[in-house]
Formats: sequence, structure tokens, C-alpha cells
Amino acid sequence: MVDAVIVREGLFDDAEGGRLLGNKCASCGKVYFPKASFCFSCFGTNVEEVALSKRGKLYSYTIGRMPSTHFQPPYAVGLVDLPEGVRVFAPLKLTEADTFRIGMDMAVVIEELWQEDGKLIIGYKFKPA
Amino acid sequence: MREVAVIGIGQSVFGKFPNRSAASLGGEAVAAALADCRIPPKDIQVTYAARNYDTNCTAQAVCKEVGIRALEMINVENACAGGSTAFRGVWKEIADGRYDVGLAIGVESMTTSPIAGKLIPPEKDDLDGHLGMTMPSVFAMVARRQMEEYGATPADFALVSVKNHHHGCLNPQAQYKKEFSVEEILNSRMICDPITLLMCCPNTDGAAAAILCCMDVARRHTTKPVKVLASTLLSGDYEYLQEDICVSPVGTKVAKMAYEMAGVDPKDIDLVEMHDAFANEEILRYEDLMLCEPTKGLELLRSGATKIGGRIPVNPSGGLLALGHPLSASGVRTICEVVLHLRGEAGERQTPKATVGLAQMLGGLVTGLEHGVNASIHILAR
Repeated sequence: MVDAVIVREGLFDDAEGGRLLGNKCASCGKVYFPKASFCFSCFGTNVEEVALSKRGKLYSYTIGRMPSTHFQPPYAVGLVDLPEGVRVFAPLKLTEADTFRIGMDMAVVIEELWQEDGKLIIGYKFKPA
Repeated sequence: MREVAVIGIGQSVFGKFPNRSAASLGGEAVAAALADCRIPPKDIQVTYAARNYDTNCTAQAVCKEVGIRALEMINVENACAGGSTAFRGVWKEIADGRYDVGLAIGVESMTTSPIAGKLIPPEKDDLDGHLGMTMPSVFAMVARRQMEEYGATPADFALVSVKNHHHGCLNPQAQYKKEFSVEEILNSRMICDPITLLMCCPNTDGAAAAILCCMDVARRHTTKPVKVLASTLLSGDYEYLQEDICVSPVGTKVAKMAYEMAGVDPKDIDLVEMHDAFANEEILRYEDLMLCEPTKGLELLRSGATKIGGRIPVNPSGGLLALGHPLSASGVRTICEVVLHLRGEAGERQTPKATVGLAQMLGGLVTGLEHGVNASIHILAR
């Protein structure tokens, strides 16, 4: 049995098949991901955790052809705009090369990102919806 | 606030020198700057040195190579804008009247750094860095938006690289002195699509140095001092405020600050040296710097105006793309190039009748902040 650890605490949970967790300012409604410790927009200190939409639109992307810190090529990364007004940088699930296009619908998935010291590192990715 | 002049400039060789220390490269640049203005090492009163990787008393290690010691020395890191930050540090000391003569150094040994031969990631704890963000992946995502929103093509990005490599051929100090065609650039190895290898600046070891002083001292050493009209440095805002990643809020703000401080208009600028770490970026920076109207960067590029001999030469040195990019050195090196043109000493790449020049740098990636975590502009004039 291989241990699984999450890439960083508090970013997502496994409810509803996996979802991202941000937070929302109770005063002005601004939503943050990753969570903000207070509202950077209005300086309100009353921020509450919210689950983010599971779907968004691809704002931009690229396919890496040289290794990054943890990924061997080819790998895809992109920016996904969620309806809450949040833009998320994330790895994209590369199934067939060059299937991405700007503006397409994307869905979040929680799964293994890479392996490290015999452990599975679990995090979020987006895939074409 | 006192007026400040640049009287000495120097650059080490640029290239891949894994057997040379940062101190040796930095020492070469400082020795060249001292020789340039013919002042003895003992005249230097304060030193700022910038380095991005493995920094540990870099200023002191460099200065001991050339007989400068036992004075106030400050080490800074500010990603690709580190060199600009060091220069500005010295400028502030002299403008404020604390010292009369100071030395700014930028040095980097990329081939011996922990990121040698890799795509440059953000700081090692950075979340997005772990998730696959690198400098080229960010600029590749920007490039895709330029194609989607503004009608750019990969051939346009290649054109920037063709231009800057041509300029590099005219600069004896450039790392790469080789002409490339649009096709050769498009057909070079893909790094992060649509960014190919020849649209990326190389890994470079090297250093640059500048000697600054108050006007009284400058007049004793030269009849043609180059004055610093504006020195600006600004940090980026939150990422969520950058709705369009092709528009740099920090780059736009710092440009306005610089023009206002210098009391010059963008159309008064005779040449520009800027951060062209990735070819597509240069087109957007034309707009930040108001060399053209917003969204008209592509037209400016295609018109040829930014070539040597054009209306507003950009990166006549060869830029980071051909001259090379030792990260923290580039912020000092861009200023050295502008000084050379203002003195009329730039040889084959000289900008005719140059009286005002601008040196810009942008750098850094931090999760949650706009890319270009720092931006700096210096405007100089003769």
C-alpha cells in the first residue's frame, strides 16, 4: 500500500467527487483561491470557506516539452476561470495532445499529480468537460 | 534631491562559464567600469550587488577582486529586476546626499545555479511552481492569449527574435552572434508551445557594473556625464486584478511614474533596452512603455520601427534573447547599453543622435500576484 499525501492542506476536499475550497469575504463577496487570510479587496476580516464550482472555462494553456519541478514532458498546464470570479492555475489532464482550446468548458478532478519518496501526491487538475 | 550621473560602465564576458566564480565574473565587470571612468577603487564609497541564486555576501566577494573593501555593501535579490534594484539603491544613496560615489553590480552564474539547464520555477515553496508553473509556461499562456485576442501569430514572436539576434550580431559582447530566420526560430525545439527554444533567452553567466556619482564628482571626470532622469521600482499587485494577462498593471504603472519623474514624453525616448526573456513579451512591453497605443504593439513590431535604424530601436544590444540573460546582471547591463548610446560609443549598433534612453526590467513569479512581481524603469539622458 502506497501512502497518499495531499499537495497542500485546505485547497480541496473529496465531497461531491472532489471540489476546490476557496473562501469568500462576508462584506464584499470577493472569492479567493487559494484562501486569503482576510479580504485583499476590502480588508474585511470575516471570510468564510466556500466550495468552488466544479466547472469553468479555459482562459489559456500550454503544453510543456521540458520537465518542470515534478512533471516530465509532455504535460499541460492552464488557467481556468471559475464562475465565482476566480482564475485557477492548475495542471490539465493530457489525454490526446492538442485537444485544448481557449474558452472550452473544463471540470476539476482530484487525483494523483506525481510520486515522491514512495508517496502519491494528490492534488487538483482540470480536464475538458 | 541631488542629480546623479553614471560615469562608469562595465560588462564581463557573457556565456557559459561553469568554471568561473560569480566573484570572478563580477570582478571583471567592476574592473571594466573603473577603467571606463578612470577612478581608483578607493573612491567607491558604497556598493549594492544583486544576485538571484546562491547569494551570500556577493558584493563583498566581488569587490575584494578589485581592491574595494571596508565600506558599506548591500546585497539584494529581486528576481530579474535585481540589477535594476541595485542600481536604484546606489542612486538613492547619492541622490539623498549620503554618499558621493557608488557602485552597482549585477552578477549571476546560471550554469552553477540550482536551476542550471532547467525551466526557471518560482521560489521553491511556491504552490503554482509545484503544479508546473515555470517562466516559459507563463509566457506561453500569455502568447496563446495574444494569438486569441490580438491576432498575433508564432511568426510575429519569431520576428522579435530575428530582430534581436540581428542586433546581437552587431554587439561584440553578445553571447550569440548569429542571424536566424523566422523559419529557423519557428522550427527550433518546442519548449512550452507556442514558445520555441529560439524565442527563449539562453542561460547565461555574466556580470555588469555601473559607477554612479553626484554631479560635482561627474564634472571632474567627464565632460559628457549621463544623467539619471528617473529611477523607479514597483511591486506587482494581486493576480486577480490582472484580468487580461497580456496587460501588465505593474509595467503600466511604473512607466507612468518614470515618465512623470523624468519630465519626458514617451515620444522623446530615442532607444529602449528591456526584458525580452521571451520573444512574445517584447510586443506587450511596447504598449506598457507607451511606445505605441494600447493593443498596437504588433503593428509597431511589424512596421520595423523597433529595429536598429527604425524610429525607436528596442534592444539594440541584442536583448536578453541574443546578448544573454544572467538574471541579476541584466538590470545593470540594460542601463550600461543605454549609457553607451547616449555617449555615442555604441559602434555599429549606435542609435543616431540619442539624447534620452530608457532601461526597463520586469521579473518574478509568486502565486497570488501578477506575473512581473517587480518592474523597474530608469530613464537616462545626456
